[in-house]
Amino acid sequence: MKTLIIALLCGMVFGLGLIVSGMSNPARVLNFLDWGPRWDPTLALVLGGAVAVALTG
Amino acid sequence: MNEWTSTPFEPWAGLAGGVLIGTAVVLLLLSIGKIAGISGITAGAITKKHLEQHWRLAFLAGLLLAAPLYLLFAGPFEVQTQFGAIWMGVAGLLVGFGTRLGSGCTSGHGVAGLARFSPRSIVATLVFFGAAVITTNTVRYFI
Repeated sequence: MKTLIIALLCGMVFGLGLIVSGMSNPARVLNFLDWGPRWDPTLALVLGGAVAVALTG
Repeated sequence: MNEWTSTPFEPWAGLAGGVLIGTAVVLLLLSIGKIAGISGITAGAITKKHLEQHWRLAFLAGLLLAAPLYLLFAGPFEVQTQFGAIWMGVAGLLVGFGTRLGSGCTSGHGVAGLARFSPRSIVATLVFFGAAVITTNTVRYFI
C-alpha cells in the first residue's frame, strides 16, 4: 500500500512538473524542435533542471 | 503548411517544472528503487503482473490526476495544437511505438539516464532529439 501511495504521489509531482514547465503544451514542445524563428528553448531548461535534481539522487 | 503557433520562452517556469520532474524521479528511485521512465512504466503497466503492475498503474494514475488537480488549484493551462483528436491519437500511437523501439523516452533516457551518465542513454537522447529536430524542420519548412 505504501509503495502504491508513493508511486501515485511521484506520478502526480511528475505531471505537475510537466504542466508547470509548459511541456503539456504540444506547441511548446514542437517549438523546441523548430530551429526557425519560433525556436523556444524552454525544454532545454526543463531537462536541465530535472537532470540537475536527479544528479543528487 | 500554414502558420505554426509561437510560444514565448519561459526559462523560470521551465526550470521550476524541471525541478518538480527531477524531484519525482529521485523520490521514486530512493523510495521504491524504480526508474521513472514514462514509456517503460506505461508498457509495464500493460505487460507486467501483480505488484510489478500495481505501482506502475498508481504512478500513471498520479500522472493523469495532475491535470485536473492543476486546473482545480491553479487554473487553466495552455494546450495548443492545430490538429484534431484523430491526428493526436495517431501521434500518440507513434510516440508509444517510437519510445519502445528506442527503449526509453525523454524521462527514462533523458532525465534518469543522463543523470546516471549512462552512455546508452546519452546516445539515445542525442539521437531522438536529433531525429525529432530533423523531422520537425523538414515538415515545417521543406514540405
